[in-house]
Amino acid sequence: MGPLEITGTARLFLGLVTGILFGFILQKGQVTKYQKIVSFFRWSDLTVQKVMFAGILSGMVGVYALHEFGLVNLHIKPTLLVANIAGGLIFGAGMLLLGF
Amino acid sequence: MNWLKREEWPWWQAGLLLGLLNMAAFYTADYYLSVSTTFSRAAAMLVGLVAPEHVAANAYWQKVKPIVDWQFMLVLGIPIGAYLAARLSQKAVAFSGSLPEMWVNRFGTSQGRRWTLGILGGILVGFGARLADGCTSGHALSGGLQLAVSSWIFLAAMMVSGTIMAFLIFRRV
Repeated sequence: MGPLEITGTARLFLGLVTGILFGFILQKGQVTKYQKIVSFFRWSDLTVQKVMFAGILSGMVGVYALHEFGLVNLHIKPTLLVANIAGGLIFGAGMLLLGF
Repeated sequence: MNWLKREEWPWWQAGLLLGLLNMAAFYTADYYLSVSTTFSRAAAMLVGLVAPEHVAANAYWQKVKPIVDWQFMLVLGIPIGAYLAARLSQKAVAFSGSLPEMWVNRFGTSQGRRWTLGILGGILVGFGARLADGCTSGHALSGGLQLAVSSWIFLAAMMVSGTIMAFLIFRRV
């Protein structure tokens, strides 16, 4: 049990395929667009909020279900209060300026 | 097939697929959708071209080595996938460098200003992601779904900061 163990070139190829699908979904979900990112922070168009929370919720149910069956490991990043908050504040400001 | 050619998918379809893709990443790669560590690795590779001894002596880069791994390939795949998605819904994808309407309404038509503020934003995004140990993918999406405390703190801070900045910058537009 546990996750698959794919190594070497196959693992790199898997990463590339995962990335292509990731980019495809983000583009179709419109969250790669300047207007959508800026509207996300202006709260004038909630597309990014909706896509993000639908992604979090569906993944939450799915990943914890897989975890229940022993098929995946969780990867929870440690809580570093000051770093998480300061990093988030800086990141949010930059994301608004950049718009992506 | 018409579905693949649509310019946009409803939010719930895109969200559901992101959830499924993350499940696949957890199962097939024992990892999660994430991006920002790759930028550290790429930076180490670039610095290594001119000062390899500096890279070797750097404590962080000894841990996060300048190698091409699963996530590195994922980051390379993102623009390919985004291009395919855009290309499928139109005859040609223009890389015109035209400025977004919302930008022009606030900052005008100067390309130099767009580049300057864009690069400044990019530096803040990169620095913030390293400091917080994650970005919108690794923290918000993948950490959020695991109910990681660090990720929800990051997400809250990011949204508060961006909302305040948006109010300050765009309130008169």
